Amino acid sequence: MKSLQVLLVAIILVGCGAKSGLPPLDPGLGHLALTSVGPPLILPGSQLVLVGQGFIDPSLGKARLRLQGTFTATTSRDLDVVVAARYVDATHLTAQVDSGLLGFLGASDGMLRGDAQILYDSAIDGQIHGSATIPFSLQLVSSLTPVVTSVAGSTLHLNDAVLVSGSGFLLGGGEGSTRALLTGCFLADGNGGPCSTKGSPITVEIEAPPVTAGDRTQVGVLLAPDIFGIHPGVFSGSLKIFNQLASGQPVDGGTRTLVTTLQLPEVVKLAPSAASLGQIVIATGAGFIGGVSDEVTLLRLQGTFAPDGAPSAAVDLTLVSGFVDGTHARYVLDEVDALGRGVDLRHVTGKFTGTVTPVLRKGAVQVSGPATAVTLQIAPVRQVVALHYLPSFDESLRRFGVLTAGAAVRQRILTVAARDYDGVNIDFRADTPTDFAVYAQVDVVGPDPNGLGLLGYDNTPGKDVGNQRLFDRIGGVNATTQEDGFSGYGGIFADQFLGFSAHPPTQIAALGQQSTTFDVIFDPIRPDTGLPITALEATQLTAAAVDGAVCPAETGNRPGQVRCAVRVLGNLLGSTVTHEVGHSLGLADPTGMLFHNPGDEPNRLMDAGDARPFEERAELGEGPGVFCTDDYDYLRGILPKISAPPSVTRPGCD
Amino acid sequence: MWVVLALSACGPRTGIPLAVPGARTVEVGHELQLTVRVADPAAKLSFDSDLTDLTTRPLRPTLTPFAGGEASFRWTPLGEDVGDHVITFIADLDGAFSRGNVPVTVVAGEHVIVFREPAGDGSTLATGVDCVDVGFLVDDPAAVEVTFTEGADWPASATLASVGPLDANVHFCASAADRAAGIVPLVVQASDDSGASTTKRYVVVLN
Repeated sequence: MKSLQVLLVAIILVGCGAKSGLPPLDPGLGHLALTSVGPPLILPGSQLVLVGQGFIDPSLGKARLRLQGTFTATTSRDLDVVVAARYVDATHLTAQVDSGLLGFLGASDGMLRGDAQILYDSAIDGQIHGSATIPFSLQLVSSLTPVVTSVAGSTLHLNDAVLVSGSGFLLGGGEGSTRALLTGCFLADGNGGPCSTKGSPITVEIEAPPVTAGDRTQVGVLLAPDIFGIHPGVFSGSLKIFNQLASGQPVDGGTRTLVTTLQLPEVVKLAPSAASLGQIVIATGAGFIGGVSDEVTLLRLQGTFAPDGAPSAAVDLTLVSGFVDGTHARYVLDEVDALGRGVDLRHVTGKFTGTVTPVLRKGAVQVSGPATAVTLQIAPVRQVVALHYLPSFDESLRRFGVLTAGAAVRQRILTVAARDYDGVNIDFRADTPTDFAVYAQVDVVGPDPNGLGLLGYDNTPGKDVGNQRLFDRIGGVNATTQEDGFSGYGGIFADQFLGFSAHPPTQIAALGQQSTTFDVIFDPIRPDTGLPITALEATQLTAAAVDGAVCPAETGNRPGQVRCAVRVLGNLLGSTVTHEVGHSLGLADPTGMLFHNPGDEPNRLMDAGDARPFEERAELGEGPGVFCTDDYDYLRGILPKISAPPSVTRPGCD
Repeated sequence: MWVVLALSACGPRTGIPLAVPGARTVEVGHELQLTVRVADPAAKLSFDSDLTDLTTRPLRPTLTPFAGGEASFRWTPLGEDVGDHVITFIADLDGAFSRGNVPVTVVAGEHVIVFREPAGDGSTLATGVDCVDVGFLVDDPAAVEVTFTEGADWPASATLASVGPLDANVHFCASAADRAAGIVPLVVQASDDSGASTTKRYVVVLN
């Protein structure tokens, strides 16, 4: 309803005059550079790949490529042309050899030489910014004839590629593509012969893309299941290579004899050798399928499973994998498939010993490969937690004066989180996991979006006793939580820790408890009260130096002050991460209704916020906070770890 | 896109040109950055908003002047700001005013529905077993309830039923046609009132 209110309040932030000393607005293009323009041979419709650094998002500026020099066709003339460039990432742009450029050149064959430059029309300051120029050379041709020098592919698996080497191949996209025409006969193993009566005639035209992006010297003809089916056998025939130009005109590259033996699929290994619920196991081998809806690669496990502490049992399971490519299949340990139905992946561990057999299914047709001996350990359930730092966190680091030391702060957060959960099967990561399909995420941000000045907030719904959800997200908004009447925005809110100061920055509300020690530590570092950590100082911040920092450092000991500030901020944030993750795991009071430990006891991680003073959080004469006995036993129960718990004195929970 | 305004205010003088960006959308907790430009650097720049506490709340916006008449507006909206608003920039040069409005839509957050269960890609239906139940569970940060619908090529032998606001069950009993096909894809779509939707493909392989 606030949008309907009409009371407008104006604030004057810029006074008259005295503006000559103002700095220019930073458009973020200070590191703009172009290092290469390619490929060197182009056709109408080709995509130029521009490599460099400092390229910015389209919302911040529009990129263009400027080419200055000469264009030599039948005659030579000056060249000065600008074409639109498309943002790919911070180091790559693309530009199209389109009709506009061709119209400017007036010819489709010739040589462009000169200097290339990236121009940015900045949306920040409205100005045009240019990179330094680099020399470039591009040969423009209207047509390209493929030349085949060799064909490799006498023994292959499904979804392998026949490799065609030579020159003059097309790269795909707007310039057209190189294509292959397979003609001959496929005789499946076991069908006898000859192929003319027992085999299948083959006439298939397919695209042959570059093996390496931008390389015109080698293309691959992928043997997908649609060509020969999924049975092993032998193809005898020919391979014709031709370029299909964007104009539609084909350019013949000749025909080669091709005899290819298609082999059974095989699994070479499963990795990792131990995995837990939600983890990804990759089968490496050859001949895997699954790229279209009627195909799947199954992994049949036959052998024995020896549960820890229980007798072995015979196993014959068929698991459904996800298709990655012809040499990799991806299997996620899941509670609802054949493995999960047979083994309680949350509570049972043990070792499978036996074989894995790849089984290809295309519709109702099935082909099995040879069995390979494997072992696969079912590991205790593990909670993986990815820490996700949003851009506003960097702004918060800037307010603390530690922006240049962000990596050291992040490392200290990880160290604290790992220490607090020592003995519990939880794994904190700084990056998005690629080895687990199921994991939790904690957003670390600047301000508290709830507007409540919270230090952190677990916005996952309800109390997940037993940690049934391995995929909680502490961060963003959660409508279900809001519906229950709670604040909906979760995360760790770094800005709010500045509220411990007796004189917080203007944008930060003071907390109920101020600490003079906080100011002793951060005043020398904060930009509004001291000197932020310099880039040089940040390079001297090893993990060991931060972990061993003496706090507070004495006045005048600048290196000590820097180390102490990083350590303390890492402690504050790290212990808040462990506290909020504790909530998402079902703490505190997992058998009761409380969300925090009752009362106020020293050094208890799951005490309420107002019972956790700055000195305890910062580990300055107090702390570190630990999980109380019952809470820790609960954590060891839901996330068991084989190793013994650390020797830590824990307070009671009551 | 820039919108250049040259509006006259109360007095007889014509306002100086003021350039403001076009409409923006920003997520709660994410910083909105806008650049405004006034033709005469001597002008005073300020802003108004329909959000009455915008200039007094602790985490209030900043408008930082730079050389050449440019200024950078930075604001991190809170949860209570979700909705449509207008930020009005005002240039004042000796009593001649120009105003430029920037419509800003604050959204709660990234609106992506994610299937959490099943985690895997499929399961097998063993010989002699005819039926299986597969549970589907989603996360939807911006809605308390989703609608589950059958996706493409839905098998006649499967039924989809919601069992909770964010979860559903598929009950599948293989028919002769399914056994002939060998692979039965179950494509489940989840969508909410905002129009966000996502699909999960899970295959049942029949032996």
